[in-house]
Amino acid sequence: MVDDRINTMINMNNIVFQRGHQTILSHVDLSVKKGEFLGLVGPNGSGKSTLIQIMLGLLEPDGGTVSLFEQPLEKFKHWERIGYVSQKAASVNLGFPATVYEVVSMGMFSKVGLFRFLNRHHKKKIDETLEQVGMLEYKHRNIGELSGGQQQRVFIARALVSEPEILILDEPTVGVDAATVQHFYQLLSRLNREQELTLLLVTHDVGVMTKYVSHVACLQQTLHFHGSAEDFEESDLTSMYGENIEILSHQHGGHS
Amino acid sequence: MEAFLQYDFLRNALIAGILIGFTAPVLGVFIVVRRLALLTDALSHITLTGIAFHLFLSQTLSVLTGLSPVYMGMIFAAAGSLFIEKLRTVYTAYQELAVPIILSSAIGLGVIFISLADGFNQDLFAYLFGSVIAVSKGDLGAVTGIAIFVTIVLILFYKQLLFIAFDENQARVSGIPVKSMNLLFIIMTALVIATSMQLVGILLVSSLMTLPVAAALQAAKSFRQMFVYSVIVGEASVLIGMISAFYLDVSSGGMIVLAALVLLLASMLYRKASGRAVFHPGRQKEAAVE
Repeated sequence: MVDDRINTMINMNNIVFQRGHQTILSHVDLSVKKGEFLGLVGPNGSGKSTLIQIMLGLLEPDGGTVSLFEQPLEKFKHWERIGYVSQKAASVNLGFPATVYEVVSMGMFSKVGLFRFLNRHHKKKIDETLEQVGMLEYKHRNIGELSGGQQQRVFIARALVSEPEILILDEPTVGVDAATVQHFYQLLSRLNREQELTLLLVTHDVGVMTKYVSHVACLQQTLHFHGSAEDFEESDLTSMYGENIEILSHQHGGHS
Repeated sequence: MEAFLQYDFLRNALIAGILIGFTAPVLGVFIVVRRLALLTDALSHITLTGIAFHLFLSQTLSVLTGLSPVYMGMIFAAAGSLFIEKLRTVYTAYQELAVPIILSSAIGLGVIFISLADGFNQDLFAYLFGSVIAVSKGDLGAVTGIAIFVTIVLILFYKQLLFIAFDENQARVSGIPVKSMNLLFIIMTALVIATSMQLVGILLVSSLMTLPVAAALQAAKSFRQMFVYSVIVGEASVLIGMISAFYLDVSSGGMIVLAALVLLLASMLYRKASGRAVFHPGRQKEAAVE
């Protein structure tokens, strides 16, 4: 069922997306290989989130193809292999009456199957994952009582609990303070190194991210750079961000 | 209380009330957390259209006179729910627009059918505001069947419904068939509303789906507790409301809503006394953590 030899986890080919007469994405090719920690950067409105939504089948592209684990998107069924933390998670309904445990258990559902219930093994896994992100002591707390950074860690735990092979994070640090962002990247980097978890991180915040990722892709309607983090230079960004680059890299503390 | 056990029609009403006191708040939990509370109003009004259509048709088709108008109400509510789902996908950015569209068209059509039929009569009044004597044996059968159906669906699909309620996109990426689950859920809601309306009344049925849940929100610490508290408040409202309505000789729907409202206010006082704020507990602590 699960093929371990697969090397290309995500492959997007010639993606085109238009909204009305406006071109959001123009002929984008993007691939994520096993073991990579890829940072997808680009200014606000550059089409990053659109690209991710197309990747996950939430949006239909106007052109191009997507394959996940070397299978065409339409035929892909093994969603438990992909963990996804959406941008929206940062602004989740704070009044939602669910505990941290209940939120993380949702991530287990794709693994448990349609007519089954969580067993002791699943519950243990939930505890372990909460431990991993340092949130176990908050297990019975209401999700709304936590800070933005803590909530984000709970959402990571939810994405991790089904033991995905790739984790996709869409602007996970929006609205989180700088110190927490640092911890957060350290956590991701550790998961990438120790558990060989492939990561795709979407962010407009170039500054801190480049220290942790192995590869970088720059998006502004089309891909401007796609390569290893060592080859990536600040000059690659100026074509995209223009003079505002300084301002952007300092913006990570606040809302955008 | 003895009267409820003594007379058949009251016993029917009591059993139906207990079943509705369970199904309505349980579905209400999902509806409220998804911020779709007004949806229940739209569905109850389309049920009224169905009832009015039945009353109009039964003037010419004698076959229908023996049949309860509830079934026509159920058909209309189910059809209306499908239309609402369609509208929600067409107007993704304006999902709340589906509610006024359905609500006003339902009332418009309903009023036409009512005036084509007899105009307002005693029967219709009972449907609008609820009556304990309106529940027949056949109606009780429908209420029971739907309660069983709802319970089975919730046991089987609790996980999926919870995930969709919390985050629809995430649920979709986890491989949950969001579209079919939404469809199943809204049809279930329509059926519960259609069968609840005899006791609570079309204009008041949404209250049984929202007031107990609003009360539960004040005290619940988890999603599971939401169901426990909502059902407790729902059952208490139905029982207090029905029994007092019978002895005071007033509309059962009105008394049920009144009981639910009193319980809601009590829960708000409890919340205030225990010093917790609802809906934005995260904000005040934001600065303190980490």
